[in-house]
Amino acid sequence: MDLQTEAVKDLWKDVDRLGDLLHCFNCSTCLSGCPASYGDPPLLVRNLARKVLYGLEEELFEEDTPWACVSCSKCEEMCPMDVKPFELILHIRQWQSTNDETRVPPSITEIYRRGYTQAVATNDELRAELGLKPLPTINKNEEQLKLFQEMLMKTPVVAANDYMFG
Amino acid sequence: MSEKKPTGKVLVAGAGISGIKAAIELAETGYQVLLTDASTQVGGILAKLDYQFPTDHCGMCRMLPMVGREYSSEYCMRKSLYHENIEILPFTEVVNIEGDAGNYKVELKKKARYVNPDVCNELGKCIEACPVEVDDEFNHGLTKRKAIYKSVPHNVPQLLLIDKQSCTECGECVNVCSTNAIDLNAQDEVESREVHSIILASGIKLYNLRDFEDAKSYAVSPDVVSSLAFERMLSGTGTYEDGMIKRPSDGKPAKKIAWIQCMGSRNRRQNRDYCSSVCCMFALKEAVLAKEKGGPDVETTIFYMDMRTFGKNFQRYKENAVEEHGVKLIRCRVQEVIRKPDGTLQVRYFDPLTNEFFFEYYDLVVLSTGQAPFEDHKKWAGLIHTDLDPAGLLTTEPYSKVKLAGKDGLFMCGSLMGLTDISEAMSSGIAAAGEATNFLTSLDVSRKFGDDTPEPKTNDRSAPKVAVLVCQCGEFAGAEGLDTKLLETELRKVKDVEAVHIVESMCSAEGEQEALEALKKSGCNRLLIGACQPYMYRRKLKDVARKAGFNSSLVQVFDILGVSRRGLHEDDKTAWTRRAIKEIKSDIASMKEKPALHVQSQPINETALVIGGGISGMQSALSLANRGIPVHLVEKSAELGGFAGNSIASTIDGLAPMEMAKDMKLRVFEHKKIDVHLNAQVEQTEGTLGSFESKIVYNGNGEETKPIYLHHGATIMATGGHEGKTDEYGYGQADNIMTQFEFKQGLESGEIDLSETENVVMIQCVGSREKGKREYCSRICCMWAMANALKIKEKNPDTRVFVLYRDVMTYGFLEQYYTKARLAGVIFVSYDLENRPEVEIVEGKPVVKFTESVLDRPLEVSPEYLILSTGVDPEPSNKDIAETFKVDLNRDGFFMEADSKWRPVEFQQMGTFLSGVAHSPMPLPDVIMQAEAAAQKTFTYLSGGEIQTARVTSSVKDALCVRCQRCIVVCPFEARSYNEMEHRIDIDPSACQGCGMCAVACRNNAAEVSGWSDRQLMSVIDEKLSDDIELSTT
Repeated sequence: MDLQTEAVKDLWKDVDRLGDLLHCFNCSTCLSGCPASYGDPPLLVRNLARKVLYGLEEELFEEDTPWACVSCSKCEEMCPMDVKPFELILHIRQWQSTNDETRVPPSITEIYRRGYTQAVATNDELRAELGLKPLPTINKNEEQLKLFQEMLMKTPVVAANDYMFG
Repeated sequence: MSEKKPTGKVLVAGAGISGIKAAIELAETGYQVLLTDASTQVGGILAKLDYQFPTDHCGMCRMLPMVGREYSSEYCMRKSLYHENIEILPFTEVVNIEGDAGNYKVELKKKARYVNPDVCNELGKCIEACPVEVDDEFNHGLTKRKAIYKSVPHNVPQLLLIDKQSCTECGECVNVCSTNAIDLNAQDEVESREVHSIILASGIKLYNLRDFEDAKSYAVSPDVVSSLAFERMLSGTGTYEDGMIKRPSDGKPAKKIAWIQCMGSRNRRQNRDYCSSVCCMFALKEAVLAKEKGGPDVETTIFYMDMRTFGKNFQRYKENAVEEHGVKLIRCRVQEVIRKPDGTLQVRYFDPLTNEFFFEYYDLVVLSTGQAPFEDHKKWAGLIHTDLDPAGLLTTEPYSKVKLAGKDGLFMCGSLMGLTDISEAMSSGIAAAGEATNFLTSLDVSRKFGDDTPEPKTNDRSAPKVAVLVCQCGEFAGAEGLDTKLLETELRKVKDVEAVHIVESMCSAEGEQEALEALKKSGCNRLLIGACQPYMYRRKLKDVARKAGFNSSLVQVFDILGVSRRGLHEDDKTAWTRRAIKEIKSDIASMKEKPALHVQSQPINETALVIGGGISGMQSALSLANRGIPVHLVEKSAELGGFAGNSIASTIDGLAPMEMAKDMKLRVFEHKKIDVHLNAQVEQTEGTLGSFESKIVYNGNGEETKPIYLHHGATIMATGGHEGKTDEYGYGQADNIMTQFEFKQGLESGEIDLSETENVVMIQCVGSREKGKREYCSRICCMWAMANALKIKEKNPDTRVFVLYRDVMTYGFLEQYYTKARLAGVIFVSYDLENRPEVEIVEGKPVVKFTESVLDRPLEVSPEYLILSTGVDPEPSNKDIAETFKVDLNRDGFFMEADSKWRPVEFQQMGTFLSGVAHSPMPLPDVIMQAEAAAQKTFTYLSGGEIQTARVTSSVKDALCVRCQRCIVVCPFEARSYNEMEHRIDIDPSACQGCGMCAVACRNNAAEVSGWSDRQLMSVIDEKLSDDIELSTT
């Protein structure tokens, strides 16, 4: 990584004006319980904060993982330094979209495909062990999923980029 | 010291270890101490800790005085403490403080116990009868107790009390109590006392899981416990049983245990931007102990952020824990603990070594809960009318950790200053006592030493005539079934027993008078006294005996209720009495063989020698001189001030060492009691505590001056240290590669201009915390890095500053500077020894290559400045000094104190003390605190005029001794030496602690501890093995 050529020192001021992310001491609390960190590639909010701090503008711009966040807000709740990681993710999404209005987040294709950004209801076994009913998720009901996809297709973003949703 | 002056009196509020230490120090100096504690116990947090690192045993008794042992009843400190100059008031709160320096009026609220300890016989029938069961706080709810209970299982005496919150007032306890000790309507009592000075030592509370804000994410099962609760799981008085650390939920053995660090600390979200300082070592110790106590198959993992091994020998302990005990360390603060359906505890973590996520499952999770909000501080601030600092602590005078700001005669010590480890608690306790002594010296008060009734002369050759005095304890002994008539009749039959006397109550004035008269008339030379609670009353009873003409060493006090009650069924009343008779007979047998032991007093030369004229040495010298002790201050260089005093202008916490040293130098040179010896070194020394002779040589300016000989009673080593040197990371190969100190000086002098500087890289732990190099943390380098980094950012905010670190050691409230540095935009990148930064010199400039640890990719920076944190080295002259004074150095070249936890400023060698960086690298306020503590220890010894050796010391039967010198090797107090001239073993009676190691090691029965002769012990064994006595009549 070459900081001389790649880095935009004040990037953090663009992305997160309040500077909460400067408090981060890389403890990994945000990572270890994050549901989106199970994804491939995983969402690693600690690393996103680091990229903002270094000013790796191009790399950050290409990042799709911020869109995998499921907004559970656990990182926000547990961060010992009050970095507000969840808000940082929203800031990054905003920053990416403001800089490229045509950007279509890949998570929309995930939503289109299975109704959620993440593979939910994977804990069926655990639920069964605990005597809980399986979750009635949309991807288990093909008819509903089809209706849902037709509905999405009518939105302007998906309609304009329909080649992505085959 | 005129008789009419009042004795100096000090209130020590808080009887944790620092308060106890301060109290003992003051009591030893001759002041009267009122030691209170708001809780029902003494010992504070340490009462719950059976094991302390680094020995992983208990060592609390090591804080007891080494000289003048006769004044305090010495035994297990975790049970309690007795000293004739200390009045202990547990369960007592300070509710009001009035007056000012030297004249404080305090109001103490003695909380109602509902059980009168003077009357209670501790049989515990009431506890059996009580129908109420609640969680036992002492064991953190791991066990249950009744509404009437003993608050600490191992205290002596066992003070019972009733917890009125859970008590249903059913009256069952009152019904079964045979001594009417219980009064359910008892009220709190408020008592007013006058004292000259006050030391606050109320400590700090650790987080209770109930009050912990993040409990919902972590404390998800009974098998998640706090670190203090885990201590109770390792204790026999807790839940440890059958070699098993039991899981609280089901009592099954916990075989896989995880610790999660920084719970409630280093947390900005919870408004606590500080580190609790002790939890890292606490967790390491617990993890090591878990294997020892739970079996070798126990697996232990610690999840941490920075492993803060900043204290002396901490780093080595950590390495040992990892390498020898297999403790696994994972650098990740986990977000939550999840309880699986089968009860196991799931932890998911991100492993920074592999950059992957893992699941792990544990039987038990221990949360390293740090210091809870500072509630006590608010109370004290209100009582003494002062403000708290932004962190919520009591404010102190600049440079001092123990003197409260603007409040003469008010001091603090221990964890009230912020959580401290044992060593710091000890140093601060001694230092606070020292400051209080300083203060009392300025008042018109006197010091008081033991009862001065002279010891009666004895004739060792006269035949033993034994008197037995038994206290009936009012009617209790009778009520408990002890037949004193029978006892008297039987004892009269024993050979050499000339007098048996039963007193109704020795506690009363009449009883005391009656006993005195009877003893005077008895014509005996040996005395056995049976009374209750001998630990408390031994001293007083011996005084009575001495007045009646008995030599103290020939008086023995035993627990009359204890000997008769032990292990017997209470219905069998004559069995009790028979047991008592048998026990007393064996005591008589021992007594008959016992020689009279005498206290020897040795004269003291009250002059002190201080080696090292840095800030530490000057502080000790001034502190002693101000109290009237003459001091020789020996400095090897041509100037006083040392490293800090001559080269450090400012520190990050706003101190100015050079300015301070300038002022100190003036005061030292002007002080009539201080002789300064510059360009001087101690070449030779001889003698023992109270009387040393040292040869001083001068070597200034190439001129040889005649050596002189100094006579002194004690020595303080304050040799200091200096910034370490290095040849790593290209140091010396380019101008812009420098040490933190060099950079700091460059900035201060203006030689370094940062206006065009793009990048600065700092590398921490250069040649430090690494085998074969400096194997310790130098404690101050992280602070220096923070200070320099903040300065750079202040001068040029556009400069990128990278700090390459292994663990950031901003312990305690220093954490705020780490946070400040990050906020200023300083980038911290961690590295480890397997993957360290590399420096290449390209065209005379350094290029630093390192792995960006978070993003896990290589990074290359060409900084304008590369700054190396090279640590602190001990003075090379320490080696010669150690040899001259026969004291030890540790492997790192720092002086080795007598005990790393309990005796941090003393050497094993009596009469020698240490302070400051000579001990280990430490920040300036700690140096000053230790210097004050070393001065106080020295003052206690030197100001008494003479030293009383203990009665029980070891001796050598010269005719039996074969000079194998085994005893010299095993003596832990270096009291034995080989006399080359006279070809025999010498014993220093003031150093000997009568531990008996020599007697064990001796193959020829030549080494013997006086009062514990083989004959004596054999006759006791004979008596114990003899048949039960036949009872003819009752």
